[in-house]
Amino acid sequence: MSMSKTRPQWPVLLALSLGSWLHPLPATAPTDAPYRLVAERDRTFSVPDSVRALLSRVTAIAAARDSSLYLADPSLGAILNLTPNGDFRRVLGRRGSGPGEFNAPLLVGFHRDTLWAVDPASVRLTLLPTRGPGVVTVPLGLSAATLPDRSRPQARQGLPSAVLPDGNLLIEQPVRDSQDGGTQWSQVLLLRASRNLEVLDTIAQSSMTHSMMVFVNRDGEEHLVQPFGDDPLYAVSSDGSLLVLVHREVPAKGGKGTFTVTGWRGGKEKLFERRVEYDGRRIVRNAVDSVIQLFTNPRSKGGYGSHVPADSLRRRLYRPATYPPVESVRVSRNGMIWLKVRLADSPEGVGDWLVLSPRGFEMYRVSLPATFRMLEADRRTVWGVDVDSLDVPLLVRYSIPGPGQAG
Amino acid sequence: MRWKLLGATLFLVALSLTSSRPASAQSLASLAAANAATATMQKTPGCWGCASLGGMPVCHGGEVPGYYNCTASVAATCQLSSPGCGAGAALPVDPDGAVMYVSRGSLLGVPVAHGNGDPPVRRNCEGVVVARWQSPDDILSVRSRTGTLTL
Repeated sequence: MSMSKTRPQWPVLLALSLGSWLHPLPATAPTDAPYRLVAERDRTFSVPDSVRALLSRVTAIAAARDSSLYLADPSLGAILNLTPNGDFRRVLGRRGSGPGEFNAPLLVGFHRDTLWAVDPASVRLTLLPTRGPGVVTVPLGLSAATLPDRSRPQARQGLPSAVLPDGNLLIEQPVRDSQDGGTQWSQVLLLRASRNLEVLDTIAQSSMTHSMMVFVNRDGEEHLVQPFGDDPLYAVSSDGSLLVLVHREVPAKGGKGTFTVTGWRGGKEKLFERRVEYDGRRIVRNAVDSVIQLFTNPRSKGGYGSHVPADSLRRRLYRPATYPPVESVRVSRNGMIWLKVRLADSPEGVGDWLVLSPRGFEMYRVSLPATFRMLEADRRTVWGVDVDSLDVPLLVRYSIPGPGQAG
Repeated sequence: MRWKLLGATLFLVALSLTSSRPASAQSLASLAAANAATATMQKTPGCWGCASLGGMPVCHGGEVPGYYNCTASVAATCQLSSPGCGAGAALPVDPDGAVMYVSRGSLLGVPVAHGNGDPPVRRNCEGVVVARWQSPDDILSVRSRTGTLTL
């Protein structure tokens, strides 16, 4: 007797209907892939022209509990605080070397109610209360006091990328390769360290051989990011509660591959490790030519104007058979993991984002503009920088529709 | 008994006076040593290196020796340069970097970041202020704030 001829019993029907009532299926739920949502530009968020004129290179955004924003822009030399709608609220700090002053702040985040900012130019971390006075400066690198107990390792060569919930620091410490004269970083250590840079733990050790191209000339150096690099990526939520590592090495023959996502709570406790299988997208010759053009031609849109000749660039370019499956990673305040992916089934001309739950399960994919650079995320909201038609950076917010509104 | 008490008191006073002198000298010496150590540790900030943080190339301060021009763009490049960073541009500077040499000579220098309204400051790659582009008032201002080496 085949199943099609069998009439289901009423308890089965009841269970099915109850199940669908308790767990409504999304509008477009495919059987083997997360369903796709299309993000919508939130027009209620608008940064005034007077504020926009101050911003030239926003590198980090931290959203507070009330959705007001704190922005780091190395060119500004201060931290900018905007209202939830993008209006100017106040400036924290100013350019200088004193307490509460910055040279080129790069990263911002929260440690409980305190805002922290990393300034690699001043080689220090600054902790600022979001309300009231008082500033704490944590010297880094060579400025940090030497540990009294010299037998303990000290992370003096690294820079903090987050303040963890226990108040310790997540330090990224590159290790130079001694074989090529020390110009190229070969590995990076992710360390958990106290505020006097005493190393407490090594969280990860990753390769950096496909991350940068370093060119040394007579009067200077030029460091360029490898556009097709497949070294591991990591990201931390702005409150430091969730650290995510992505191993994304492209297989030698390309085609099908696997990337791994690992989550750490507070940089201490490993939460999960997920393996995601994918079909890679081949890198065609035109894409390589476009990249070379982008690096070398200052007139090209978004070009960098590198002084390195195109032939030298082409020789040093790392070019795997397929694109690395994950281009960038962000962790939202509530632990959602956003991976910008480039896979065989990624739509053309848009930024394809795979969203994982705080435990690493695939939830849905979101289409955002290809030029959008995500800097902060919440459950249904993302903030970042896009460019307008004249290639001028623009601070924007996108809303992600609910499952019932899937695009 | 009274004489014995007086004698003991005098002895204690004398003992305290003789023992306090080395202690005082020691504290002054340690203070001087601490000052010297601080002066040696606090190098003039400025020489740059390119570092990487979260996949972004960044300009990293406090790299000695290094370069004086650093430009980083979002997630793409970090460029270092210092015209005149060769051996010909080297100048004697105090090891602690605290003393700046102000020269009107033919030294090469590169502009360093400055705020709006401040006089433009140029330094060579050793952290030396090169005053070729500064007005006499600016030079006097620098000299009043710092020590000066004479070559």
